[in-house]
Amino acid sequence: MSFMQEEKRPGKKKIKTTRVVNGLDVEEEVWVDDLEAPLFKPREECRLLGTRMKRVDGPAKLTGAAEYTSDVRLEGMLYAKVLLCPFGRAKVKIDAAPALASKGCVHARQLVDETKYLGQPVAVVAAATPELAEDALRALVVEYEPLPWVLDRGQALAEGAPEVRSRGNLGRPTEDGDAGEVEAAFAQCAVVVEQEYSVPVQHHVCLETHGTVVDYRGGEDAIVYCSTQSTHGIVGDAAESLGLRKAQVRGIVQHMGGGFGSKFGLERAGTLACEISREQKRPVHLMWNREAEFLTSGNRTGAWQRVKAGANKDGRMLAMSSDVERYGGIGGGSHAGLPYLYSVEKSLRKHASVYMHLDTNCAMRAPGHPQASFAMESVVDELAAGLGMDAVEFRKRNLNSPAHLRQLDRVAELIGWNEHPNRTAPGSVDGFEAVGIGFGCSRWGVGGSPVCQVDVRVMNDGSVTAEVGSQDLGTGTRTYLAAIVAEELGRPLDGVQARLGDSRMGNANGSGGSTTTPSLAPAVQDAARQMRGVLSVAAAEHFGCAPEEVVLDPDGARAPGGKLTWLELCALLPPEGASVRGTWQSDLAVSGVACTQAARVRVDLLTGRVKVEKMVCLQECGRPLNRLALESQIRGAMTQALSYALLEERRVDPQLGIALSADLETYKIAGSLEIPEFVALVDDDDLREGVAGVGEPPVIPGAGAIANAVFNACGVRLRHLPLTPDKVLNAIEERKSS
Amino acid sequence: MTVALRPTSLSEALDALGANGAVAVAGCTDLMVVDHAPARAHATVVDLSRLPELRGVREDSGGLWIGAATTFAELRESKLVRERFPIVAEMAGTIGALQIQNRATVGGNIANASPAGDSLPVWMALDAEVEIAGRSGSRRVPYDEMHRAYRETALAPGELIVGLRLPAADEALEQRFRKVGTRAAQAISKVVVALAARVHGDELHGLRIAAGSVAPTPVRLRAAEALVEGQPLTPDLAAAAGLAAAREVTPIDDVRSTADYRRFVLARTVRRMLLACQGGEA
Ligand SMILES: Cc1cc2nc3c(=O)[nH]c(=O)nc-3n(C[C@H](O)[C@H](O)[C@H](O)COP(=O)(O)OP(=O)(O)OC[C@H]3O[C@@H](n4cnc5c(N)ncnc54)[C@H](O)[C@@H]3O)c2cc1C
Repeated sequence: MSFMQEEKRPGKKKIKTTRVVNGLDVEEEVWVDDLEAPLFKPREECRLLGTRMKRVDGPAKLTGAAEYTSDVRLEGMLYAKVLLCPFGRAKVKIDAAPALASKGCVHARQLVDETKYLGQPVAVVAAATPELAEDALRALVVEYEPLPWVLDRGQALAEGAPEVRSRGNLGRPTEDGDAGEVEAAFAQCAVVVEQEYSVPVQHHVCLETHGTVVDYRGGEDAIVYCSTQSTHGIVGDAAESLGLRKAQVRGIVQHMGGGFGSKFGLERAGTLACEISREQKRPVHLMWNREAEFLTSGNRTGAWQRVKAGANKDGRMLAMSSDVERYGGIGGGSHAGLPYLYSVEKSLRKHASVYMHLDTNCAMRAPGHPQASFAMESVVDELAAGLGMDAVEFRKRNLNSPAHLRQLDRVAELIGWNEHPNRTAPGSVDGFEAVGIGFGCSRWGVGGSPVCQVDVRVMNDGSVTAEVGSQDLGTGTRTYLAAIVAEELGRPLDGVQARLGDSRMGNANGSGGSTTTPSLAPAVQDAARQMRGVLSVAAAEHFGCAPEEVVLDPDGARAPGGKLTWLELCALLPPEGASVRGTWQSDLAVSGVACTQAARVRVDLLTGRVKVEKMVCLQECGRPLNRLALESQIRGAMTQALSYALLEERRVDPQLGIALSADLETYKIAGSLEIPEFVALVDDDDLREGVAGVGEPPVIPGAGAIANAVFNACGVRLRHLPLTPDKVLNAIEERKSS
Repeated sequence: MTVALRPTSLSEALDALGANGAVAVAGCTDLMVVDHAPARAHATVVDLSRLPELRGVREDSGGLWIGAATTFAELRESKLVRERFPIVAEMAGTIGALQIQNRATVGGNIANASPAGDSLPVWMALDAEVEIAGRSGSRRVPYDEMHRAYRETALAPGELIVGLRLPAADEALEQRFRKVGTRAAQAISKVVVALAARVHGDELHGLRIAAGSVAPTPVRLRAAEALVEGQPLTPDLAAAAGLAAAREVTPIDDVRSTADYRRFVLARTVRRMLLACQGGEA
C-alpha cells in the first residue's frame, strides 16, 4: 500500500472521504488537521472496553431473526442450482432442453465443454422453487467423456502424466540459503533429525456455504446479498456480471456464517446468480450445497515436507534444510516456509508446487502457516527429545521474542507441565492409556490498513448510530463498533446502534489477515473522539465553560457550571443532529502478536484413539476490546486446530477419479464431544495501546502441540496428519516390537 | 409423483404395500438419504408411524417386546429397557445424535440392513426373535437368520417387521456394548460389538458375541465364543478369543477406516469386553 510514502504536510494529514456528486458517492482524498491520536481511555477507566461483552446481535442469532444471505426471500425469486462433474476431468456434452421443459424451470445451460478439476460445475439451472430446480438438474441429459486426470502426487509426477498446466505438473522450485554453510553447521550439531511430515488438504467448513442472492428486476439498480468477507469487494464483480455500473450496485452482508478466508469475492455462485438475474430480470438465489462447497470453493493447501534439522548440545538450533511440496490443486498452494518462527542459524530451503486436477487452494485462516508450524513444532520436539531436554526449555533457547518466553512459562504452568513425569523423556506404550503434554507457538503480523471510514451520528433525541460498510463474520465486529462509541460518549452498550454490512456505508477493508479490528477500531475511536468533541462544545456553550472542562459520563454531561442529562445535552444539537467521520489512526493498531499453546492428550493404547483433554492458549492482542469475543476466537481456533490434527482430510480416489469425502458424513470435523477443557487467555502482559485481530494466530500451533503431546504420552511420533487411530495404533505396535 | 399413504392398521398397511412400487417408511432417516440419488423415486410411500401394532415396549413373559416403529429415543428413555437390557439403551444413545434418535426406528435399522447398523449386533447377542407380518400371515425368525447377505434380509417383498422379542434376562446376564467410531457422536461405526453371557464363577456360559462393520452382514463371532464358552476366563484366553474374532471376520477398507484397523480393534475390543464381564478393565 502506498500510504507510507505519501506526500507530507506539516500538521496535516490526508484522509479519504466520500462526497456525493449527482447523487452518487465519489471518493476523494482531503487534507485534515493531524490532531493527536485519539487514544482509548486508560484501561482502568473503561466501563465496556476490555470487559466480557455479549455480542449485540446474539439474541437475533439465537432466535433465528438474523437474516443470513441464504435466508433472503424475495418476491418472484428464482432458485439456481449447479451440476458438478463427478470425474477428475471430462469432456462434457449437455442437452439442456429437457430441463428447460421441466416444470418451473426458466434457465438451464451448460457452463464448460471440458472440465479442469474434479467437481467443477458443468451446468446451472434456475427454477421457481428449490425442488423444481433439483428436478431440472435431474432432467439435464449429460454425456461425460472422461479424460485422463491426476489426483495425487504420484499421478501428477508420473512419466507422461496429463498436464494440469502447460508448464508441467511440477512447478519451478524456489530455493534459498547456502548449502555449504548449512552443511558446515550440521557438522557442529550434537543431534540431527531428518524426517518427513505431511498435512492433508483441509476444508474451511463454513457453516453457511458460499452463495449470493441478487435482487435485480431490470432497470437501474441492484442489491446483491452475499456471504462474503468483503462487502465493498463484491460490488465491482457484481456490476460487471449484471451489466451495470458499480455505483448502481449495492452489496449487503448483514450476517455471515463464516468465511475463514474462502469468501473474498463474489465467487462463482455470485457471478452465476448475477448472470441469471440479468437475463431473467428476476431475483435469483444461489447457494452452494455442501458438495460444491467441498469441491469447488478452495481449501487449505496440503503439503509434504522433508526436513533435516540439527542442534548443538546446548539446545541451539544450528542448521535446517527443508524441501517442501505444496498441493494446491490447480493452484500453486501456500506454505509459510521453514524454518518457521524459531531461529535457526543456517538454513536452506526449497519449495515447489505440484499441480493436480483438484480445485485451487485459497486463503484459509493463517494461510500456509499451520502446515509449516506442524513440521517445525514436530522437528523442534524431536530435537529436544534427541537431546533429552525439556521441551519448554528447548523452545526458549530458540525463540527470540520475550513474549514467547514468558508465555511458555505461564502455559507450562497452566497445563500442569511442571508436575508432569515425562518432561525429558516420553512415556511408554505399555498399559491401557498414556497421558502426554505438547507445546506450540506462533506469531502473526496483523497491522491495520487505512481504508475504513466510520460515521457516528447523534440525533437530538439522544439516539446514536455508528456505521461503516465493514462486515461481521461472526467475530463480533458489530459489538465493538457500538462499544467503542458507547465507551467514549459515556453511553450504555445498547445506547449505540451499530450498522454495517452495506456497501453504501463508509469504506472498509475485506476481512483477511486478522486486519479487520486493527483497521476498523482505530477509525471508530477517531469518530467517537470527534463526536465527544462536538458534544463537549455544545455543552461548553451551554455552561459557558471551555470544552475541555466538560466530562461525558453515564449520567450525561458534567462541567463546573452544572449538569445536563444525555437527553438534555442532545437536545442542544441542531434538528438534523451531529455527524462525524472517523479515519484510521496508526497509533491505535499494533502489529505482531505472539501466541503459545499447550495440549494435554490421553492416548488409548488399545484402540489408538487420541482424546485431547485440555488445551491452553495465551494470546497477545494489544489492547483487548471485548474479552468474550477474543476468547471465542481463541477457542474456535483451537477447535479447528484439534480437528485438523485428529480428523480432517480431503480424500479422493485417484484411480476412479472420484471424491470420497465431499460431505460431512465422510469428512468429519470435531463435534461437541471432542471439545476438551479450553483455557483461552488474553495475554494481559501485552500493554500496547493499539488493537490487533487474533482470528488467525491461535489456529497455527495447535496441531503440532497435539502431535507432540501424543509423542510425549507414549513415545510414538506421528508425522502425518490427521492422527487417526489406525496410524497411532500402527506406531504403537511398531514401538512395542522394537 | 409420489403418493404418501398413512394407514392406521397393520392390515391396511400390508395391503398398501402390495401395490407396485410401494415402499414402507418409518423415521425416513435412511430412506431420505438414499432417495437423494437422482434416479430414485417411489410411486407410493407407506408411513408406518401410525400403526398401533408396531408401537410400544412391553413386558413379554419375562422378556421384552419392542415394536418395530419404536424410536431409538424411546428405547434410550424407556425404564423397562434400561432395567432389563441396559445395552439396548446404551446402543440407542449412540445412534447418530439426538435428532436422529428422535426419528430413527428399530424396524428401519433392521430392514435397512447396513453392516454398520448399530442395533443389529445387539439383537443378535441378546438372541432376539423377529416378528414379521405379510398379507399371507405372520411368522417369527430368530435374529441369527435375519441377515442373509449384504443388505439382504429374511423379509419377503411386501412383508413388514412388526416387532422384536427379547428373551428374559436375569441378574446373572452380563451385557456389554462397544462402538468405535471416527468421533464421539454422529459417526457411523468402524467396529461395533455386543456381548451377552451368564457368569458362573470365572466362567461365561451361553456366550453370544456379535459384531458389525466387519463383514457384509452383522455376524456372530462363533470361534471366539467357542473358545471361551464354559472355560475359566483368563487374560490369555480373552486375548486368544480376540484374535479368533479378528480371524473370523472379513472387513474392508473404506473411507471410514481400514480392514487392518478394524480387525485389530475388534480383537482388542472383544478381549476388553470379555475381561470386563469379570469386573476387569473396561
Ligand atoms: C445423520 C445420520 C446418522 C446416522 N447414524 C447412525 C448410527 O450411528 N448408527 C446406525 O445404526 N444408523 C445410523 N443412521 C442410519 C439410520 O438412522 C438408522 O438405520 C435408522 O434406524 C433407520 O430407521 P428409520 O425409521 O429412519 O428408517 P427409514 O429410513 O424410514 O427406512 C429404512 C428402510 O427400512 C424399511 N423399513 C422401515 N421400517 C420397516 C418395518 N417395520 N418393516 C420393514 N421394513 C421397514 C424402509 O422401507 C426402508 O427401506 C444414521 C442416519 C443419519 C441420517
